[in-house]
Amino acid sequence: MLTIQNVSKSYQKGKVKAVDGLNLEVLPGEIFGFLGPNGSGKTTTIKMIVGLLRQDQGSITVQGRDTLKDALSVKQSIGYVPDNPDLYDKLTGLEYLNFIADVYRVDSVTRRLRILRMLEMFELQNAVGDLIGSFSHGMKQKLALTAALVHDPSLLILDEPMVGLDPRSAHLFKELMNEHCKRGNTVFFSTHILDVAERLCHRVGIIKEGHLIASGNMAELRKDAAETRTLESIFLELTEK
Amino acid sequence: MSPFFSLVRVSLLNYFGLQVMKVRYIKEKKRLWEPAVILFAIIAGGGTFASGLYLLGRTLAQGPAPAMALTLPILMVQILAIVFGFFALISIFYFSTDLDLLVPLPVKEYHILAAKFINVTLTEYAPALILFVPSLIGYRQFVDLSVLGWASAVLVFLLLPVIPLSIMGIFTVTLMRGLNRRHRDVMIVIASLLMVGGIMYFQYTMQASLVGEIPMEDIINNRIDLIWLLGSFFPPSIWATRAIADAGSLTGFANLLYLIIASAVAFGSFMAVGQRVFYGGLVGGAERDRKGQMITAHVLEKKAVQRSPLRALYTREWNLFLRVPIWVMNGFLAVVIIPLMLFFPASTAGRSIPELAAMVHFANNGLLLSALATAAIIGLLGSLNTLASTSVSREGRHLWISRSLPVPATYQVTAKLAHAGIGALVAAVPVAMVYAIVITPGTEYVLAALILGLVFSATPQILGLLFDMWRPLLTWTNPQHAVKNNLNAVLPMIIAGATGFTSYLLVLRVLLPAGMGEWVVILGVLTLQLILAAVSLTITLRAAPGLYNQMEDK
Repeated sequence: MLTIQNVSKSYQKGKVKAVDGLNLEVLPGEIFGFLGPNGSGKTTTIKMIVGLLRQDQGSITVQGRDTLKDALSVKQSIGYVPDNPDLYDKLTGLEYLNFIADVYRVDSVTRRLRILRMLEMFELQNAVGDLIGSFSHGMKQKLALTAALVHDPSLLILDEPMVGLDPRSAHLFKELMNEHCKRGNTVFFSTHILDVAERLCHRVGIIKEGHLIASGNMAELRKDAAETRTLESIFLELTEK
Repeated sequence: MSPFFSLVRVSLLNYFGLQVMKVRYIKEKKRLWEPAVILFAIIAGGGTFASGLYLLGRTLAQGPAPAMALTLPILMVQILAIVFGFFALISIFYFSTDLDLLVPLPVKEYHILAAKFINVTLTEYAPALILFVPSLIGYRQFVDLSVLGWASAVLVFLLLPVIPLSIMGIFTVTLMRGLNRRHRDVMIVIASLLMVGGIMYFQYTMQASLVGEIPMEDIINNRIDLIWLLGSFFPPSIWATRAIADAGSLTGFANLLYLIIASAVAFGSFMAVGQRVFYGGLVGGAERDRKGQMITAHVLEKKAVQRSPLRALYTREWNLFLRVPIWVMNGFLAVVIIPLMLFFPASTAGRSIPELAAMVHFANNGLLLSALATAAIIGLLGSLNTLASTSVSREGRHLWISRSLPVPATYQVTAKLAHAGIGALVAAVPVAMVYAIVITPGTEYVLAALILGLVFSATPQILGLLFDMWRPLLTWTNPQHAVKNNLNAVLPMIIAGATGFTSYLLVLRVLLPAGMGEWVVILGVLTLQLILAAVSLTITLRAAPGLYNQMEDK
């Protein structure tokens, strides 16, 4: 589904290397957790996948299509929720959802079903007719996720989706990710909440200083680390080396 | 450092982007051509304007009331501070993104107000420098200024924006306190239009009624105080004038004292009123304005209807623009002011309209030139309209949405230009109406002026958008920044000047001397402008995908 090959990205004319020779593969139908300390390159990697940044070298493909050469086609199959969803304060929630559905060419019947279902799940029916500027952070997250799923993307990309969510909303997010995968789609998300990643993800990748230092399912990760059980202890051990 | 001065320092760094400039130009040494271009634009544009004012100053200084050379620019600075200061103050007081950080801090409301007021005041010094200083220098060519005179001039210059901004500050905080959240945006637009229209109407009717009844002999023999006549619209301009012109005398000292005291009282009043009502207006604006309409399947049947991506992008442009009053006023203020500036002098001068119309009808090529002049005004209004040249900048921190969408960049450009084009049409119609009413040229000339003007405004807007895609200003913290402090908004005016000059050469140096008929001339100019617009559009559409890809990499 998603292949990252030898990707590097630096800032300030090469002085700061955010991602360095990253190689990663995400298989169809899996939930992949992307973990790493602050400043390790997670958000940079995600932005390169969705086309907000251009890598200096290497290639990123989604379903075999290059993100630079076939950008529009790749974007059509991606749903993206950034870590701090800055949505249009001056549009209503419903206007925003319709806007996204229009640009993704979702027909009227399909969008109504999906929007209504997600609004009911997130209990946003009373709020979505108001300006997004009046939404709380959690409501904006939920709206952003609704918008990202309205076109049922093959690859759902979430950057720190649980930040600022109450327990019920976090639970709903996890359920949605599972559901999305069961429909044959793929979820790629970054998080700091390791027990969520441990319980939810089929595989995880750990990035540190722009390098992928470990990748695999829990059993595979335990083989790479000495005498460890939880993902947290594996993570701490690997990132402190 | 005291908390207040720390607040002022941070506010200045934030408002003027000083830290961003320091990092970009000094530390990272990126885009070093920008300061050079900015300086060139200021020298070229401001210099041209300043030299005109210098000549005006010299001319007035040789007239029956030399101090008029001071009163006129002083009055202009203060009127500009009233009109534009209102928007700047509303933007910085109520729509600035740093308020969420400042309000919870243990600082007094008037500290925050004062720090922000200082930012706006400093901004007003730039136009004050261009308007006042050249006239002062022109005045000085014919009138000696003592050391005290120069000292008074410096003090007057520093105090120029204080009274108008303080008055606007009181108006702003009171208005925002009184408006409830739901109608705030609409009421700001209405209040702004009424204020600007009211100022224009009052000024012209008052001065027209005075000037029309005064014999020229009285003016020449100094039996009429022209300073008082001109400055009576805003008396501090009289005090400022006399403080400089009569420096060293009791009159000069008294007027300087009036100005200082009035400035202190005005500023103090603004602080006092602000301390009482600022937080109330701010907090009221932050309250959640929930209509709470329940979205059901039935509601979605009406509201969730598929439209084309292009139409969705176009609708988004309009919704986001119209719901930010600062952008509406900055985009359409010229639409209000310029037709009023054209109409009021003509209407208040009584019998002049038929005379003017007759003059145009009977002059050689009068109707042709009137149509071309109207088209030029429409084209200029189109270039003053910031819809296209700040379109990407106004997306600011929301740009990630546009860049992550599966729509070609050409669609984004098309939607933005369509939005700007409608904006140009809205601006063009009042001017065409004034032309039709005042000159009565006939429908064909009015239509020709309208069409030609709209086509003339296309090239500046298209290239303005191209430039904004190339270097968008995305780091703004209040909406005023995105349009007013954005140099991209200036470029269309320069382009309009260039294309307008080209058309001028075509008409007056080629077509008319060749004896071409009126409609051949109009067609010739239209063809030239269409070619320029077509070439600009082609370049812009071709460059768009690359520019959109590169935007956040800078």
